Amino acid sequence: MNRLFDEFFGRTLTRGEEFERMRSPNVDVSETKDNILVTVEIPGMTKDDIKVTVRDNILTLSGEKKQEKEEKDANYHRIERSYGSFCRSFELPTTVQFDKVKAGYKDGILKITLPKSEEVKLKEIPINIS
Amino acid sequence: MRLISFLPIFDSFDFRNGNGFDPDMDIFETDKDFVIEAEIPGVSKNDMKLNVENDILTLEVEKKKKKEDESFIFKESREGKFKKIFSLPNDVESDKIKAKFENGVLRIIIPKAKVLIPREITLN
Repeated sequence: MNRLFDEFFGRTLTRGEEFERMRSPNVDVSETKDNILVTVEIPGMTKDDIKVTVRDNILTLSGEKKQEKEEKDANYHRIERSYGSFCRSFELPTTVQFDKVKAGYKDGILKITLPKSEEVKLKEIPINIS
Repeated sequence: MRLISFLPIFDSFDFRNGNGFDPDMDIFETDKDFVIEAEIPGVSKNDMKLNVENDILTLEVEKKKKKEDESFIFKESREGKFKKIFSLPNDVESDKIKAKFENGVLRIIIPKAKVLIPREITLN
């Protein structure tokens, strides 16, 4: 009954085509002594839906956030989340050890660790000024 | 039993204290439940508080800054405190509300009272 009246007054929303594109996820890029860290906020996904590739010095993150069928058919009161596919690429400094890149997904956060090459680390030795 | 509910449901008041931390939320209903889904990546269960009193549901989240010694090259994520107060629809079983946090998504399930669940009527 409530639903009927909600629809009558135009408050019930339905998901349409325009929601099928996912908003670009938030990305943080930071640097520690040994690594460059790329952190991506992509909640509600599984490991298998995420792809991380490094080609030449381009890091590409892509994936698809799927919505459960049951939810697609539901009546909506508020829609803020977005679904669909996303893709972001970053040019990496050439001082990264590309063969040692690691990635993990936990609590909706994809974290990529890019170890700096040894030469760069050596350059960071402090020099005492006399 | 009321037949018509003109009261706004799931209206919410927001309190924010941070640099724009504002989780995306969906609210929808199935035959049996009302469901609130909030995207809160990078927060642990312990930093969330969910409270129901009468027909008011309060969600409080604190996303803390990372402690690691890192300097940002660029940053798009946000931290801070966030509090949302929802007015619940009338015909719900508020003592049976359940919540689950998985892969950065908080899912709150609010069962509808029996009067709202569609049922088939047998014809004699």
